[in-house]
Amino acid sequence: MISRSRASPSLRLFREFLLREISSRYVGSVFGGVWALIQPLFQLAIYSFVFRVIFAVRFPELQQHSFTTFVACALWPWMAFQEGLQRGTHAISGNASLIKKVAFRRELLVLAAVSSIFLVHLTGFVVVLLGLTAIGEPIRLSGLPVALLGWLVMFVFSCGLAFLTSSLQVFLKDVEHVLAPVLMVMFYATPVLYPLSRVPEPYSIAMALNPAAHVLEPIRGALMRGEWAVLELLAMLAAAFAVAALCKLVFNRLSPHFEDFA
Amino acid sequence: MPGPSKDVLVAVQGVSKVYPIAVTPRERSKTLVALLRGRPAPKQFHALRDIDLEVRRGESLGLIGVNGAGKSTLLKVIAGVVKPTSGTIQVAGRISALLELGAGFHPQYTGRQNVRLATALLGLSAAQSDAKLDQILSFADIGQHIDQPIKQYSSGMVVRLGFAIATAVRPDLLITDEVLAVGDESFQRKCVEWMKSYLDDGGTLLLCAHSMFQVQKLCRRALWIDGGAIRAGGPAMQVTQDYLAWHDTLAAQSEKQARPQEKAGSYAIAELRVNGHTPGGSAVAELGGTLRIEGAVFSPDGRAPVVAIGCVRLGGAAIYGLASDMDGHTLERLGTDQFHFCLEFDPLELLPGRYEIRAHAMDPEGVRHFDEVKCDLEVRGDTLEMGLCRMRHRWLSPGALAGVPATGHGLAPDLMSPGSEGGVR
Repeated sequence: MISRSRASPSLRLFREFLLREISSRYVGSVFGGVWALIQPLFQLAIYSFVFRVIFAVRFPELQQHSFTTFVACALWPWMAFQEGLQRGTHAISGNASLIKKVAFRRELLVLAAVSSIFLVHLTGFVVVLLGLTAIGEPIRLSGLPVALLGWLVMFVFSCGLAFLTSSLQVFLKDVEHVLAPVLMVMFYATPVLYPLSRVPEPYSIAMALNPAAHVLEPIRGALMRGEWAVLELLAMLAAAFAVAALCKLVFNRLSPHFEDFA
Repeated sequence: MPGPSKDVLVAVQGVSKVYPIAVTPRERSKTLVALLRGRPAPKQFHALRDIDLEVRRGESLGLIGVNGAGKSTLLKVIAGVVKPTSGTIQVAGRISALLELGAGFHPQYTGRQNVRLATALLGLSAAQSDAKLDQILSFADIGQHIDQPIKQYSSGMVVRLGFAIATAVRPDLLITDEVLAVGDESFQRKCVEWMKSYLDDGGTLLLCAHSMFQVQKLCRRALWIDGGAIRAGGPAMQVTQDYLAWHDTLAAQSEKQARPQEKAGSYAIAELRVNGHTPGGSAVAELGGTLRIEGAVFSPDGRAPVVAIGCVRLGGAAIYGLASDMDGHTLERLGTDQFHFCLEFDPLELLPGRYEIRAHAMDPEGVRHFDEVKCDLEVRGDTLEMGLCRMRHRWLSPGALAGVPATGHGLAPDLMSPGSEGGVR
């Protein structure tokens, strides 16, 4: 094994990678990070128009809240998970020149890629919640700590799966193409646009198996109703770490060959 | 030396590296499955075989070998970029590996931003990085360009910045892979100077270079890698010379193998006589006498070839050479594919000594050399003149000077020929 007397400069390296990940998306653009907010905002506007205005959707789970608030609470964490996973998938293959020539911990690239997406979307999330509150939506900002715990679970899931997909992507370029439709199906199979309780009998069981449902619903419950479903989230966090650990095993097994295949 | 001591900076033991060979997507997926199951890949390539190596503190070691011998892989293994398939590597101290100057530079970012990431990759803290910035800037000598995106840099500037960063940390071990081959002359000199001062200060260098001169100059010890294994190791001068000798033999062998096929269908000297002597014997000529070089050239396509004749001091300097087309002379056809030439030097102005006459067959365009035939020549004569050949000359006295035309050309014929009153004789 390689023993190396390097203290832990990993933290600084992670920070530099993270800064680069964030800035590289917006370097040279006029509005910079504002774009990160605009894209999901448009999506939110479209869903609101289609479901509120055209379909005139109303269901009791909304209580006194608007459909917009209902979607917003789950849309941002989902977007962070999805984009984080997609960006993380390219973290290794997209940095081939570095991988081939410089020694450093490869997982930092994946962590930085996923973290950059989560930081950007978490900021957007808070801005949107504050905005909705400002226009009179009764959002329980006191539920934010629980929501953040939910975000943490989504982050661990996203990172963990990105360990798997990024290492497979080095060998097979098909991974990203498989990922795109899978994530699209996942989006509609996850209670972002509807509450889990509205799903009819045979499907609801299958959908209840989707871990994301058990993270997004508690986030929504905390912000819309002030519920503290901490235990459920902690259980999901444990599950997320288990998934991440498994994926990291694959990553570790394949990482000695990144230099050759990337 | 009893056991590994503190002086050992790098200890490589029994290191082998096997690369999977997988090109097509099918092969890649098969390899992926094998690797995931912890099995060896279906097709493999042995890049390194059972390498043992020790680098002590303050040592300078050069890796030499042909392309693909495994030098770069070995450097990558020591630098920690490549994990060996088997064997152990122990490194005590900070390594700075220059496997490629400017590796990881992002073209969109400014030099300053790239320096930040590069120093982070070297393990420097942000404060250390800031402290080193001035030093890096002055060594790289890129001035205000530091705040411009790297994509606007010339390649020389990128290379200078890369080297400046790697050297700013004064590593315990500096690993460089062919980095001196890039950059301009003055940059190379700067790098070599830096490395020498680094070595004088007790630094340790592991260098891979194709230039034996650099290895001899910078390294005290050299390691010759061949086919992924160590072929020889020892004092740099000795190993590099052995390597060069081996390389020459190899080149000569491949030339020998290549030659017969080429000769069959190409221009060749069919016959050569120097004052009546054929190659193998030694021709004789008199100083001031006549030297006649004649022979025949074979032409595969029946076109009149060009013949080039040269005269070389035995084992030394080239004295004179010319080709038939320079004088506009066309060789005379002898048969369908043979062309005759006859060149005469009269009077011969070579001083006594041993020479070699070389005849080359060239294509009709006079561009490519195809064949070479040599014949020894001994020039005899009785003179005290020194050197290789007689040069036209004359001695001037103030009286004679006045009578010389001012135009400069058109020397008086009686003064031109040696052996008359102008000569020493």
